[in-house]
Amino acid sequence: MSSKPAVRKIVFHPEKCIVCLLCQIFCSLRYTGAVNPLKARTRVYREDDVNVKVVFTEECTMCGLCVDVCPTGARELV
Amino acid sequence: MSEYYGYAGKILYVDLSTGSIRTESLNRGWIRDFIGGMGINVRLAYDLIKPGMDPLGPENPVIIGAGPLTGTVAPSATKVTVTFKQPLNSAIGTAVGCGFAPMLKWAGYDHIVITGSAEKPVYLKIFDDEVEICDATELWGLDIYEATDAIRRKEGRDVSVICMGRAGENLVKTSLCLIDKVSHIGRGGLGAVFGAKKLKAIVVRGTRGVKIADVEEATKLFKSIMKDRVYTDRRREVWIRYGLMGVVERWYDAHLVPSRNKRYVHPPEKLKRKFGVKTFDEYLDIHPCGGPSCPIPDKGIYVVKKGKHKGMKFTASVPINPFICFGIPFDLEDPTDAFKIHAAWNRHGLDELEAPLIELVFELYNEGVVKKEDLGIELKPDPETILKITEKIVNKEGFWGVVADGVPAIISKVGEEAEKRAIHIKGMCPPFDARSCLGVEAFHQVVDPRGPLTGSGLVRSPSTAIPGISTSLVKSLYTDWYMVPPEAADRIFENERWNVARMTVYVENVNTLFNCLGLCTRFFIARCYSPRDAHAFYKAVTGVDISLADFVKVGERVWNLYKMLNVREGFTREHDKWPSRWVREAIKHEKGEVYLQDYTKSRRLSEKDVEQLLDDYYDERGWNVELGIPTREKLQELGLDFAVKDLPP
Repeated sequence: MSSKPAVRKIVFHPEKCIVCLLCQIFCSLRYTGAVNPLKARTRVYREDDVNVKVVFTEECTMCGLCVDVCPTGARELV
Repeated sequence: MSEYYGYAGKILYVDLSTGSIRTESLNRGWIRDFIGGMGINVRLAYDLIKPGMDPLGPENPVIIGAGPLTGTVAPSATKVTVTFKQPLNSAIGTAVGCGFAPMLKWAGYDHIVITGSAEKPVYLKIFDDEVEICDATELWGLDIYEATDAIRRKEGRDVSVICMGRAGENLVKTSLCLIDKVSHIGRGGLGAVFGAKKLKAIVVRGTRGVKIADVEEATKLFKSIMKDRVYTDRRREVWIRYGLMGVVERWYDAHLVPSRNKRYVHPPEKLKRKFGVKTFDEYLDIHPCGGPSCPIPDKGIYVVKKGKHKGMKFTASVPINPFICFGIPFDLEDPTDAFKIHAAWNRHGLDELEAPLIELVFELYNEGVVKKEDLGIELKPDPETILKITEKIVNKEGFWGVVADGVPAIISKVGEEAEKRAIHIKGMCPPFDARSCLGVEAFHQVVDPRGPLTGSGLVRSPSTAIPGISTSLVKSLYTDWYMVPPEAADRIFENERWNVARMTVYVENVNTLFNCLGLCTRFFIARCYSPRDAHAFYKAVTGVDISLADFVKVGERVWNLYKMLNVREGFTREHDKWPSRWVREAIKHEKGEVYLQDYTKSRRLSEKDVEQLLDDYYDERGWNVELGIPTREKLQELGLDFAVKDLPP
């Protein structure tokens, strides 16, 4: 069995994201043992101040923690 | 030495004169007594600030603090505190802003102390253990938006930046700084203190992270606060999209936004039509933003989508400010001109809560006290004139150079005619007018040791910034939330009235505690945490074993030490002075007049009444009522014996 279920995917809704970094805060806590958002497996940032972008690193297993803690529904697990 | 949890465990000391950079471990005794954030800032300041020192001298420290909950999983623990001697009025102030502190913690520091003055423009770069004083020659002369963008291009988009503008470079005493181009920090002249140090910006990027003592418990508390407090707030989407614009129409209804130097208030219907939430929607693409971990941010990045300023991008720390600081006071025809002027003040790092200074000059001009020749310009309340004035203030041109340095400088130059017309407390303009509503927010401004206004005086929503909350609700909600002892509640509540001065003491204590922790105290965010919730979170995050009673006591201890910093500078009861216009004159509107009344609007207050309120405040604090300062006994009770020597004989 694969530890990385291929069917899971996180859909990102940039218009809902407020860049609060709670996704990165919890992701880094789970996978690095400390709150360390720049070491998280997913990142959000603003390009030109207004356009919100998302990044997932290769280590991301689509575990869904970032979806659970997102306060605005900007992340959706499908 | 055991590991730190919640805390980074280090204080960074930087001397810009010598180039010295060193760190010290965070003192665990100070953690016990002052927790962190504002508390340890104030304790550091007590050692570092020598009474009477020049605020623009190299010795004035810039002390930056992050609380133990900042940069952890605690929602809305976004706050940074900056303590410094204020050039505007020589008080010692602790300013609170949103952001920067989480990144500082992730870089491995709880506090930064910056002293000295560089010979040429510099910025301070803190990338984990790599701390460097960098050349900022090319940034000098840039506005805050430009300089922050330039820093991000060079150092990467992940950095957090505190930056000052041209107002700071020119040592304007009404200047401040912006965090990440959005959040204001440092009323009273932080920009000028940066300017005097030739310090354009502080740039931080952190990848060391913060450990949490009990991850399971902290996560449980996070979920509980989100479920019970955040998601149950039916107005949360309004707060996120509009910030305080979401309630501004209620402010208009309550005559909270006067104009013409606080002498007249426009009809609410007119204000709603021109400067209401619909105007906001009509003209702006809105991009809500706030600090890390905040699920209810109230700030924004905006793009004007139509009209003559179409395409202009700007930020707002307080989204109502373009309207209440510029649009309404100058009754601007085109509301987008308010965005344009606000953006200019932001870019230059001017404190727009001091914009009433321009209204004061208009009144002095209309009354013939100052003349066109003095001003170098014909005064008209149009956007072009206000923008020209803005440039003259930033460049300290002629009389506008006096205005740039605030009420104290204007009174010094113009004399009695200015003094009787200026609405100020300790030389700073109060944003809440007590005649419209004498809640805790308005009263606190009078007794805030550094002058108005810090988050220490804000009441959780439903707040007393707006009239109409019943005394029974004030009693049932606030006494428990702000941990008012039963005997104090007996002093505060009397039939249908409540004593705003005595209640303010308990609000200040809890908010000060929150400023030590790094928690936000803005109206609708503050309702997420009672002190009990904060206590549980603090223990889970830090592992520090402290009783609830000792935890809450820290707020009172820090407030008293904060006051003592200012007592050492000579501040006493005579400086906690009500603006004379609040007590003697009404705000007029088309249907009548608004005189100073108690919160319940049951009676008009006289000069004797407002002095009695001060008596009540000092009495509730256990202070010397005559002098308005802490007593020896109070300082000793709080374990502040070292400060007793600084009481006047």
